[in-house]
Amino acid sequence: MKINILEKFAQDYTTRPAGEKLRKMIIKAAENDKKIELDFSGLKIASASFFDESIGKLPDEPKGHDALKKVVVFHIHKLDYSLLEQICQTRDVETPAQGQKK
Amino acid sequence: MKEINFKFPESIDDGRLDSILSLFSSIRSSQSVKYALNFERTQNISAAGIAILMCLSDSLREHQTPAWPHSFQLKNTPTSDFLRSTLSNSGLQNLVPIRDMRFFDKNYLVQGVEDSIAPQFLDEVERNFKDQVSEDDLWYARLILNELMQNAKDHSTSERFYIYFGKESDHLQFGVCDMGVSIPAKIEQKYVASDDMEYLKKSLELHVGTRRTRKGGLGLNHMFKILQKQKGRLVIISRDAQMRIYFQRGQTKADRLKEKLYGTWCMARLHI
Repeated sequence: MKINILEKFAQDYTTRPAGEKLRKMIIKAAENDKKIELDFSGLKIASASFFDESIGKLPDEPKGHDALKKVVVFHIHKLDYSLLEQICQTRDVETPAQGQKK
Repeated sequence: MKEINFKFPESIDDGRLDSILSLFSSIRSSQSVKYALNFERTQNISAAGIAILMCLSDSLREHQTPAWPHSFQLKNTPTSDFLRSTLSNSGLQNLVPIRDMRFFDKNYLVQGVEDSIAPQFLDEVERNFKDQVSEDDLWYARLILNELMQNAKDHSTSERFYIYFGKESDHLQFGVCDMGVSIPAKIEQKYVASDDMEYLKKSLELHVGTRRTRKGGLGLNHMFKILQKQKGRLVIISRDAQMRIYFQRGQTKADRLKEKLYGTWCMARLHI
C-alpha cells in the first residue's frame, strides 16, 4: 500500500494528532499488506512531533513491531530522514529504510 | 485616570528585556492607568521586537488598558505605521483581530495566530527567504518553529500566539511568543521542582508533559539533538525564569528574571 503524505495530510503534516492518524493508518494497512510505502514527495516535514507520533510510537501498538518492518519511506528530504533516524534511535526502534533518494 | 509615560529602550530585540518586562508587570498590576508609549529613544526594532510589541498589545487588551504610542524616530516608516495602528487601538473599541496582526517586509515576517497552528506562515518564510537563506537553515528554522507553535497551542492554552522570522546580517532570528499559561505553571500541575528555573529545565526532559491521553512531552528533546551541529541558541522566558540553550555546546543556562512574565517567549537565533 502506498500512502502519499501530501494527499492524505494536506492540511496538517506537523502535529502529534496528524502523526497519530498516520500511525493508525499504518497499523491498519499492515493487516493486509506486506509493504507500506510512505511517499513524502513535495514536502518538508521538519516536525519531531509528527515523526515521533507516527513512526517512533509504532512499537507501542499491538503488532506495531511487525508494521514498522513493512514501512519504507520514499522521496523524503535528507534532513527529515536524519530527524527520523534521530527519533528512532532515541526510542530504540529500527529506522524505516529509504526506497529512493530525492 | 493616572497616566504613565513609558520610554522604550534604544533597541527592542530578543535580549535586554528587563525594562519591557517591567512594563508588562505594571500593566498587569495597575488599575485605572493609561500608558503613553514613548518611542523617542528607539532606533531599532527587530522581528522579535515586533512580536514582543504584539504581545504588549495583547496584554493591554487583556487588561482593558488604554495606551497610545508616540514620538517614533525609526528609520523604517512601515514599522512605525504598523506599531502606531497596533498599539493605539489597545484597550479601546474596534480592535484589530489577532489574525490580522501581520507585519511583512523584506527582512521580517511577524504574524498573530489564533486557535490553530500556522503552517502557512512557514511556507511564506520559505517563499520569501529561499533566495537569501540556505535550504538547510530554512529547514532548521521550520523545525524549531513547528515545535514551538505546537507547544504554544497545546500547553499554554492561550488560544493565540505571535510568530516571527527575521533575517539580520549575521543571523536568523525566529520564535513564538504567547501570553498564556506559563511553562512553570503548567509543569507544576504534575511535577514538583524547587523554583521556576528548575521547572523550565524539567520541561526539556524526555517524556515530561502534562497530557494524559497522548503522552509525548514538550517535544523539544528530539529537536535539540538534531540541532547539535548548528551555531545558535534558544532563549525561553516564562514566569520567573529564563533559560538559554546553546545548540552546539548543548549547554543550558538558567537565570531568575527581575520581572515575571505571565506567558512564554521562545526566541531562537541561528548564525548564518
